[in-house]
Amino acid sequence: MKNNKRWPHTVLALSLLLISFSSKAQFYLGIEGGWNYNHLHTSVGYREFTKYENVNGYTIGIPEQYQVNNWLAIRSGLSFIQKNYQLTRTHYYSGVYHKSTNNYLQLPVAGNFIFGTPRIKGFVNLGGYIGYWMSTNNKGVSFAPYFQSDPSGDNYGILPNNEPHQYNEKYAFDSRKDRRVELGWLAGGGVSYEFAQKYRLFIEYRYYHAITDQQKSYSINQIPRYNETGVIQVGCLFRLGRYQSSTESAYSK
Amino acid sequence: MKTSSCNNISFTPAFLLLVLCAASSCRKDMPELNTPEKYVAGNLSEEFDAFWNGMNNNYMFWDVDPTDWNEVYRKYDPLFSDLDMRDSSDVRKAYTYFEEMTGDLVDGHFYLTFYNKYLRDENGRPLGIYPLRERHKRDDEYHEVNSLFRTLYSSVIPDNYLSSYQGGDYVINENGSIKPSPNTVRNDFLTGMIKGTNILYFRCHQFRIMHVLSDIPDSHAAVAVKYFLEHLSDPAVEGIIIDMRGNVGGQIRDLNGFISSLVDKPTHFGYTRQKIGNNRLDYGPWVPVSLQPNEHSTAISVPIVVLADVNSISMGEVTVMAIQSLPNGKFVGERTWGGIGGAIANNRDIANAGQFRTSFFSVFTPYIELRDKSKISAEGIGITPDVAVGYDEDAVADGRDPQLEEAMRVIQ
Repeated sequence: MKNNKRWPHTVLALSLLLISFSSKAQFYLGIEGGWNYNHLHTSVGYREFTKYENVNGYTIGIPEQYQVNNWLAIRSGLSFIQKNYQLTRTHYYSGVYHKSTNNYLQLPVAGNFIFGTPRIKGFVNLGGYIGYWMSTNNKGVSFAPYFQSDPSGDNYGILPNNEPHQYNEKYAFDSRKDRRVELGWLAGGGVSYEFAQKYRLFIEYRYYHAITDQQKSYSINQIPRYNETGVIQVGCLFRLGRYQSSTESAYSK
Repeated sequence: MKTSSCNNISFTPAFLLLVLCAASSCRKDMPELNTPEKYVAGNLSEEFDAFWNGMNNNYMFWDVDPTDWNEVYRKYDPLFSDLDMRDSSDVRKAYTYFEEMTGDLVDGHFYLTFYNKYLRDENGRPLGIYPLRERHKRDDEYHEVNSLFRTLYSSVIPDNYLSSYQGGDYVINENGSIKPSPNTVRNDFLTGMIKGTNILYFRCHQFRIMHVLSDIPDSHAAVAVKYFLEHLSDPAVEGIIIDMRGNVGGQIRDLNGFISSLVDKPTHFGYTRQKIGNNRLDYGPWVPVSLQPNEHSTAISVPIVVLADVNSISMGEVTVMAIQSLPNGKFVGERTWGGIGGAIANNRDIANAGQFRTSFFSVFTPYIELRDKSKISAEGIGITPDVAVGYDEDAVADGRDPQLEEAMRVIQ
C-alpha cells in the first residue's frame, strides 16, 4: 500500500525532469482534453447471458513536447484518463449490470513523427505509457435473493422475482488482486495548426494498449483483463524558449 | 545529411513499431475454461480438472477460505494423471485425494457426492464428502441429531414444558410436493405456551412454513403455524422462544413470510454478495438484507429468544442472525453449524456461481454469501450465542431441557 502511494509522486517527478531537459530547445507545454472509448480485453468464460461492454470516458491532460528536429519530437505529459467498462446480464437476467468507472493518472512517452508544411502538420505517435490506477466507482443493479418480491414467479425475469438493489459506491482496492500500475504502448496520429510562431492547435486520435493485467496473478487459470482505450482529443501547445524556424532547425546540425 | 534524415524518418518509427509489437506479446493468453457439465466421462485426470476449475470459478468463499487452491492443483494434478478410472483401487484412491483436497473448506453447505459404481456405501448409496461435518465430529462437544435428541420435540417439550400445544408432521415427496404425515410423531412444527407462563414457543425442524400454509393448509403442521402467528399479537404474551435447534434450513421465502412477522418495520440484519466474474476474488457489491414486515407483522417489544445449537444450519442460522440483531433479541444455546453461506440454486446462471457437476461427481455449494451487519464471515465457524448453554444428554434422557429453561430464564 505504501509503495502505491509513491507512484503519483514518481510520475510527477518524471514529468518535471522532462521539462528540465528541454529548457534550451523548442519546448512546448499545453493543455488537451477529449473523449475516450475503452474496451476491456477479457473473457466471460462459460458464463451464460453475461457480457462485457465498452464504455465512454473522458481525458484531460498537460502535454509536453520536445522538438528534436523538424520531423521528430518527443511527446509526453501527465493526463487524467478514464478506462471504463460494464458487465451486463441479458435475457432473463436483464436489468442486472455493473458499471466500473476507473480513473487513471497516466504518463505517455512517445516519438512524434511530423510531416507537412510549417503551419499545417500531420503527425504520427508511437511510444509507451505508464499509468496509475487511482480510484474506481462502481454503479449498477444487483438483487437480494432473500427478498422475493413476486413469490408466485408469474413475472418473467430475475428482477421481477427478486428485490433489485441499486448501488453507486467507491470501490475499495484489494491488494491481493488489484494491480495499480499499468504499462502499455500507444499509437496515434493527428493534425496540428501552428500560428503566431508560438501556438499549435491539434486534434488527434490515440490508442492505448495495456500490456499489464489489471490484476495481480493470484490464481492458476486466471482470466486476465487488459484495457484498450481509444481517445479523440484536442489541445493547444504553447512554445517555450527561443523560436527556431523549420529551415533553421533542419541545418542546425 | 538529408539522406541520413530520410533514413532516420523511415527507420525509427518502424523500429519502434517492432518493439511495441514485441511488447504486446507480454500479454497472457486467455485460459481455456470449460463448463464442468461438458467434460466427457471416463478419465480421472479430466474429472480432477473439472472439479478444480469448477471450484476455482464457482466457489463463493475464496475470500476467507484457508485452502491454498493453487497448491492443491500443483500437488494433485500429477497424482490424478496416474490414476485409471477402470481400476477400482485407483477410483478409491481418487476419493481419498478428494477428501484431502476439500478437508479445510469453510463452506458449511459444501457436499461432494460421487456417482461411480466403486464409490458406494454398504447400502449401495453414493459416497459423499462433507468437510465441515467431519471437522465437527472431531470436536469433543459435538453431538449428533439422534433419537434421544428427537425426543425433545416428540415428548420432552410438549409433555413437560407446554401447557397446550399444536404440532404436526409433513412429508416431502420426491417431486418436491408436500403432504401431511398421517401421524404426528416428530412434531416437525410445534408450538404452544410454556407452562405457568405467557411465553409463546415455536419450533420447526425445517423451513417449509409457507409451503405448508399454501399446500396443506388444514394439516396439523399448518394449524401449528397459524396458532403461533395468531398469538404473536396477544398482549398477554410476555416473551417468545423460537427454537432452531437441529433446524436443517430450508426455503428462503420463509424469511419474509414467517420470520419477518416478528418486526413491524424493515430491519437490517446482514449483507449478501455474489460473484461477478470467473476469477476467485471477483465479487460484486454487498447488498443489505433486511426483515421486511408481512401481513402477520406486529410490533413486538417483549423479549425474543432464539434457541440454536451446533446442528442449526443454513436458514436456521439466518434466523439466529436475524433475531440476534433485534434490540429485543437474544441467542441462547451453542455456537451454530457454520453454514450461513447463502442460497443454493439449481441454476448456476442465477449468480454465475454455485453448484456444478459432472457424471462422476456433484458439488453442492451456495451461489451467494451472507454475513452479519459487521460483514465478518462466520462461515465454517458459526454464530456465537449471547448466552452459552451446552446440550445435556443426561438431562434430556431424564425429560429435562436445560437450554429451554435458560431461554425461559432470560425472558423472565
